[in-house]
Amino acid sequence: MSGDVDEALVRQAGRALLLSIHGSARALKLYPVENAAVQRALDDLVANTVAILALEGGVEIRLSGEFIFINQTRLRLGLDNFAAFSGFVTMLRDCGVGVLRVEDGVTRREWQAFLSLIHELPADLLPEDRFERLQARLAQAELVHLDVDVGGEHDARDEEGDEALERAKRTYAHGVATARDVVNGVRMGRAPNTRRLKRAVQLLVDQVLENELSITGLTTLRDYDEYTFTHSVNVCIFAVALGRRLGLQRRQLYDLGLAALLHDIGKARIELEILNKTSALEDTEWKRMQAHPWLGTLTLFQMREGEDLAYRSILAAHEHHMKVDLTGYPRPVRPRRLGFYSRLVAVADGYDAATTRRSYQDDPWEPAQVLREMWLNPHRGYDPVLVKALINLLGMYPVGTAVILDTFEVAIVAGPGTDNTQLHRPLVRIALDATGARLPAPGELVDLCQTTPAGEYGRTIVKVTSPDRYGLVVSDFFV
Amino acid sequence: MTAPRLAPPAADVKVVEELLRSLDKGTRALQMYLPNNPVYQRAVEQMGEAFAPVWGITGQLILDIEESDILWEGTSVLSTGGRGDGLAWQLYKDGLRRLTLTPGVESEEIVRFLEVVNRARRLAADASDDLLTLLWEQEFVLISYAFVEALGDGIEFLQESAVREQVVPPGAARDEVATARSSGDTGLAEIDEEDSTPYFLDDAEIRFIRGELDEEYRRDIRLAAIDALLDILETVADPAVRREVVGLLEQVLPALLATGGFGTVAHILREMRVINARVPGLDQELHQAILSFEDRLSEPDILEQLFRVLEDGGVREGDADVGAVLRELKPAALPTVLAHLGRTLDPAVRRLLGTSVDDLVRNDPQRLEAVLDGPPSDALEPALQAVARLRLQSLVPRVIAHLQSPQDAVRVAAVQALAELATPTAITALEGALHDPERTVRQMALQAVLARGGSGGAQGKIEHLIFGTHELDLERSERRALFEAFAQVAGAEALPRMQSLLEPKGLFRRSAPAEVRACAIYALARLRTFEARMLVDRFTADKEPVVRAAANTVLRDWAP
Repeated sequence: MSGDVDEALVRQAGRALLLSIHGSARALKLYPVENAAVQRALDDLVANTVAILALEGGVEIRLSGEFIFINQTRLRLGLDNFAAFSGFVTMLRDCGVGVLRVEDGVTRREWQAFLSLIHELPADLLPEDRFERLQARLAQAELVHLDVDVGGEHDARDEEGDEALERAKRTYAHGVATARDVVNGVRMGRAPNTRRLKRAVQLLVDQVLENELSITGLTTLRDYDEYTFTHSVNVCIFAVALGRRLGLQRRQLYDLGLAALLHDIGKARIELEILNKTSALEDTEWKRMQAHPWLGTLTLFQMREGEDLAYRSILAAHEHHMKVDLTGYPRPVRPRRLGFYSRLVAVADGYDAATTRRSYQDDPWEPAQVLREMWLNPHRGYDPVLVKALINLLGMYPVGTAVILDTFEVAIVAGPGTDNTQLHRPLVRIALDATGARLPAPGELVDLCQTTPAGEYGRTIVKVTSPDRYGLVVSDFFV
Repeated sequence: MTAPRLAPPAADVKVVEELLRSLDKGTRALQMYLPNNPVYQRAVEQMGEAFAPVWGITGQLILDIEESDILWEGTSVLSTGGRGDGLAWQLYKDGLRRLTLTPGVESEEIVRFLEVVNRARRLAADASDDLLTLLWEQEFVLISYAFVEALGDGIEFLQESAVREQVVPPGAARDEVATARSSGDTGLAEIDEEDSTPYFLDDAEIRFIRGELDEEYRRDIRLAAIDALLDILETVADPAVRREVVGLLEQVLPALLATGGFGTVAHILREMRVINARVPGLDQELHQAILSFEDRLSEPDILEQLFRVLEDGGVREGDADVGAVLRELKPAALPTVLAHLGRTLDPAVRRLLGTSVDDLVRNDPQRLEAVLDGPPSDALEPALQAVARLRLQSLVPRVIAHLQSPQDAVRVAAVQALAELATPTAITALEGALHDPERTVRQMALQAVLARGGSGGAQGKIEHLIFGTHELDLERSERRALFEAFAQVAGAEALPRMQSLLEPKGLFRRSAPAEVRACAIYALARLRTFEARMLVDRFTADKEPVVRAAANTVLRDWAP
């Protein structure tokens, strides 16, 4: 089998193993061991263990920073399994465990005992104390095919950064889950949980205020299948980050964030066949798609509770495709001036949509290209001052852009550089060295503003490129 | 292995316990009393006092929240024993798990925090807010907290409240430099100002952004959103969508009225008419739906919303928006408007509704007839007043019917209306009201009859009141008025009648009471004849003081 296929199989088996470890741990926590749900969970766990051991012989699950490795293979997290992975990581970290080894021959009894031992550790001990006690109990219980270790050295700064990224991921996943809940609710004619919606926006606003870079990095997690939901969250993040840059206060950022999160709610009333169509839309289909702004207006009016009617959200939903000169859609009949928040959302929406691979857009534009087009082409209908502010926020080479350096290394832009007057010199992570060899993700972090002792720049971007060309998955560098 | 956490000293625990008890008690006081109440103020004071010793033992108070307990350093400092209204549960149930208080919190933030807790307590289970969403809006600086947030798959994570970041508006630093330059501040560094990139906002753009943000919060977004709905109604041909829009506008109407959005309501109604006229091929059902929407405003439940807002909000005279809405009312609204007009004490509201009533009646007088013919209600009095105001003489017979009303106020209104209308029929009916059991009615009827000269029947009725037997209790001023009225209508005929009262003749003559004789004097003064004067003159020395006084008073003003 080719290396890539092997890796994919290990990833798949590794994901299944982690999910079943988490599922069994949860079941044991909730029910007595003889309960049918616990037995089923343990059955799954045993089956998944057998499957991965058949591939790899022995398995070492290693937590390294914010990443999880199965032997040498890094697991890619998806939004559909993030909660369980997060639960698994938390379970191990709380016991100070950095490595879990699973050897061929592990039995059901050993898994059950191992997970029960973890569950029984006193909650008021520090992780390192819990680890010591766990090790002692594992030895007492003679669990020979399962072993734990503390893992690699990690300095406090890294831990802080890891924790910050972990928080960002949780907030992002929570936002996506909420967006999914709202949209699916609309499809099924169910009233959404407005309180949950508010909480999600408040968390996103706080995350942007606290650590903008970590959460904007997550917008590179362009999930093909969950596009509607991730897009809503991404637009919310970009809009709030932009609003913050423009000096909006916290409550204003909340208003803006809510409007951004709900801007495409009208798509919940568009037929899935049209939304998911992979080929070009027919005229009637395109016309139907163009209805989503005013369908959003109707949906949001229906969603109000008493007088708690988010009019700004309604306007953003209705106006975000109108263009500043009102030549977009829907065309207004009554006099209208495009709202400031609607224009902000339009800019964020346009950027995220153009940079995402979708069912009908197999070849999305590169972020830098998108910004240039938004800036140079007035027919796109974006507010030029806000586009300028967006470029200022994201840099000329936004996070996630693949670039070729003058050293012929290929890198992924990771954030703004340390000199914020030099928008063309961001932070990058080296993905491929000068010979084209792939470097292990996440790659060395380099500040393009750095100069040599002679005062020259060490590296400079010479070209924007497509990550696909080099087999790079951008989100691997952020998630 | 690290050492287990040591319990804090008992004395320190006591200090924190005292604070938590004070906070728990304070929460209840804040819930039950208003800020100007001494109990509220005392509770706030006590909470502040309880913080002082705490800052002597710790620089920051970190409390862990459990279902029935609040812990400090692992020790319970407040146990509410499963009480649903206890502070611990109120915090715990919405997800709060840790509370960190910093010195200075006692000056203002702690009271605000506890008020939010009380607000959250009162929320319905399905409310769109909870404790956490309400706390987020407060932007505390000296209070931070950690809470659980559900991620899905049964996973919860502990999230810290964000430390409030000071958001610096764009251009703030430039403003500072510009100010320093203009003030000749020598602390400015000498640097080249080279903006090497075109992607930074210049001053004009920063001003533009600020202006746009201000405008965003100044403009009427509600109206803009409603216009979006109206555009959809006009441009989307799908009948189901149009019905949906009309339904939404109907639902929004009460909320608009309740929040004083009168201008928006009037705008909706006008635009609905425009759409009805402008859109070709509007199906009949939709056409009716739009018309019935207009009728909706005139329904009693909607109107009650409107009236409540008018009464609560304080109506400004000449409020164009309110007037615009009232002009949109259909005739069916008349009874409801009249009823409220009969109840309201606010003069501005009375004037507004009075104008509205007049408009409605002019459009459909039959509605007013229906009110007049209907059962007694608050609407009747203002309906009678409207008849008079609008001079609806055709309704005189209906007004006359209300002279028999068991309600004094209605009969008064009827008399006033008939007096205004003053048709012969009205005057004749008013003469009948001279014998009304209610004094006000009689007096008003008398004034009205005299003003119009009365008809033939007036004299007889007045005469009966003066000389006849009846059960009416006439007090002095009314009696005098009747005597004077009699003289006015009877003319010279009154002289011998008055004389017979003043100088009774015959064997078994009996003097009338002094008060009656005095009234006779005043009646004679109305005649203004020589004979009448000579007769009055004879009583200037009457043995009854009240008669003497009447005669002298009358003669004083009566030139020979």
